[in-house]
Amino acid sequence: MNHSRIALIGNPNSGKTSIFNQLTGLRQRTGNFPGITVDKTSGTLAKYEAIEVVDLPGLYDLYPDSQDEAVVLRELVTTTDRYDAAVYVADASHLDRALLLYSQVADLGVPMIFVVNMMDEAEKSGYRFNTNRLKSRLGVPVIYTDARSGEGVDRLVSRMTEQNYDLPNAFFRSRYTRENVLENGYHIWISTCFDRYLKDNTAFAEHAEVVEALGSEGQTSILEVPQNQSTNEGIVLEDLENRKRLINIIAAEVVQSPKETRQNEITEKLDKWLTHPVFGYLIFGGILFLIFQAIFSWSALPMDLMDWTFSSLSGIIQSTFGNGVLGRLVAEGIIPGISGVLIFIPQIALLFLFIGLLEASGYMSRVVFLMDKSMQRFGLNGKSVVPLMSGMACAIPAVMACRTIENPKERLITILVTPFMTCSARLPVYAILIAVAVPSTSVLGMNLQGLVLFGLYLLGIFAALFGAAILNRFVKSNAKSYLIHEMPVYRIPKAKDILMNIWSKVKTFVWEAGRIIFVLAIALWFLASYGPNLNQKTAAYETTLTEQNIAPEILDNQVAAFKLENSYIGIVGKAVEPVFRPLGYDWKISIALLTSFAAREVFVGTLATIYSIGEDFSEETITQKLENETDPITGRKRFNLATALSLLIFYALAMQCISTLAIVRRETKSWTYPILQLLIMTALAYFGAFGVYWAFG
Amino acid sequence: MRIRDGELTKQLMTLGLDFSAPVEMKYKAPFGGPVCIKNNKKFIVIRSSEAQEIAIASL
Repeated sequence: MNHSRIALIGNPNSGKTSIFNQLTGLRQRTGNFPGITVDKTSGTLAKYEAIEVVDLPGLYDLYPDSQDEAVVLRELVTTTDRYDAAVYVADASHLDRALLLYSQVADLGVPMIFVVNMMDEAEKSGYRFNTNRLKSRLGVPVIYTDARSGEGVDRLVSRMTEQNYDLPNAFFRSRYTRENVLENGYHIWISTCFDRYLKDNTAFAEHAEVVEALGSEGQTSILEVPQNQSTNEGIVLEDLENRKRLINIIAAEVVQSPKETRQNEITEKLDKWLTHPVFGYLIFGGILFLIFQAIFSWSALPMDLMDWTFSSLSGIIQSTFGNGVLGRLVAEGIIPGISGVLIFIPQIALLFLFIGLLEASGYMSRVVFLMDKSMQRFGLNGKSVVPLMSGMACAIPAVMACRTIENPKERLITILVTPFMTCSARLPVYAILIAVAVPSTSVLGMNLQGLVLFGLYLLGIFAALFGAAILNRFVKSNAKSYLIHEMPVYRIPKAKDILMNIWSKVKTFVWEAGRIIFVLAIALWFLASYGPNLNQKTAAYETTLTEQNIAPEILDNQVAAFKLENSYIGIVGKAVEPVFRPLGYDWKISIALLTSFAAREVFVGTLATIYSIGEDFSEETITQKLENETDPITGRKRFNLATALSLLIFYALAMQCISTLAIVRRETKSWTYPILQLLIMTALAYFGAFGVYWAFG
Repeated sequence: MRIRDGELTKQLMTLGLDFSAPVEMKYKAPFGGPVCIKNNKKFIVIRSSEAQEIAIASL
């Protein structure tokens, strides 16, 4: 079988991703489109690895208003790795709308298979289809599927593996071919896109690639067209109207629609409450509150179990291999470091479970509806809610999700404030510090630790909104702000899709954080186990203590502490300690803080490694190690309330994620914004932590 | 029904607004927030200011 590359195209909420999951299962990999940073998931068919499927972002038409739409246009028109065919996924209940985008892709001359998805739902609502008529109108195979049950997917696979893809009938082919676009310069279409790109060079800088692909003739053709927006808008509207007129005729021939659907009736009943001017906000607040309570309460048992398992494993390895370098490296360095990442899997999974449920059920669109007015006051858009909420999972896809915001000013502000939202990488830091410093008691029937966690999430939200309000005063734009947004019907999320999303995100978390902490743990262990003349110094110190007749267990602890302080890492830690001392941090915390500037989730792993080195083996968990850590001078607990709160504030406000900075750089096409972000957020974190430490210290 | 703003027209058209079918006002967000309209079995959210751009030519 020859290698085939097939694009998956369709409107948002058409069940495209469910089809993709059914087709590829776990044989998926996530990457970026070449040169840009929009998430691209590709995979291969089961048993047919030669067939590659690429899931493109959902969109409504090929006249791009936002960057994610521009990506699809660019992929179809200018990609060097051409697609052999496209599987077009249409929502059976909205076939008329689906045919608009289909007609544009068809006119590009892309061979296609037309999939009418969510048939089960449509048939129950009373939709009836004339398949033969639809096939003859479109000129391509038509396959009915229900991605929820998997029905029809085998027929789709069978058609895809035939590798003999049909060219669709043209709608307006004479004006609209890919060859025209590439070779002669399809001036109407591209000049319209070009005009939009020109409005904002910063946000739509990849226009250059589109124009470049046209060659000199195409570029000349573009330049000959007057860059007049009203002219272009008129051309676009005329084109869309012509298409809609033709599509309405086709739709009337091929589908019988009911007056109302069952999904709409259920949706309207639910929306009376969920979009209610009072109850809507109360329910939204309640959902957020429940999520953060659940994240803390439900994950406690599996986290404790994992923590205990890793501690026991360290013990077994140390007792098996003794005090050899390898045994100590694994028991004191690698295992504590890795466990500092892995034990947070239950919390990360729960967070992605809830975010996934909110998105897949259709509820997130209701939040956009409820929040738009409030968001405008801060210079944001209702659509900013989606990246901000996604930022609670991870800032990287959240920053990329800002591409759906059409207004460049609102988009830029959303990008800049999204990293304030409490991401999953902050969760391990919060969880461990709360567990150490906040008692696990009930207040008014609610878990106090969960309440503190909820407060930290609120702090992230307030910081983002406050930051947006300030930026709103400085960022200028003449572009019109508007909100046009579909409210999809409510659907019960598909368990397989949610679980696959959790699996993919947890895998990314473990891989991204795990590989950093693995290298870091080895480096930290060596730096903490060796130092200049360390053995001689330690021996001399031990002799001095022995002469003072100090009790053996105290002597051992003091020798271990001396050894660590005089190791390479101790020397570095002591050098940076004065910078962080005003915030209440000793040199060990300072080291953990510095290492976590690359990725904040390695903080716990670093601390776990540092506190494991030189200790006699004990089955203490990470939490217990931090709880038992004391200041050698004052004898007070190192992680007291003031220090823990100071650290929490620091991590809530600081920009400690190199990947996010890189994404901001690529999305804004400028180094200025990420550098400003890093400096301002770090300064805020430092002075915020300083204030909290002195207020509670 | 006619819509004055070209960008708005384009967006509504691609979201599936059927210009021959009646538009039904469904929900209003508080404090002058967006409104949700229903047209041809689709729910679409637009701001109040944008809703005013939609002129009803005839019913």
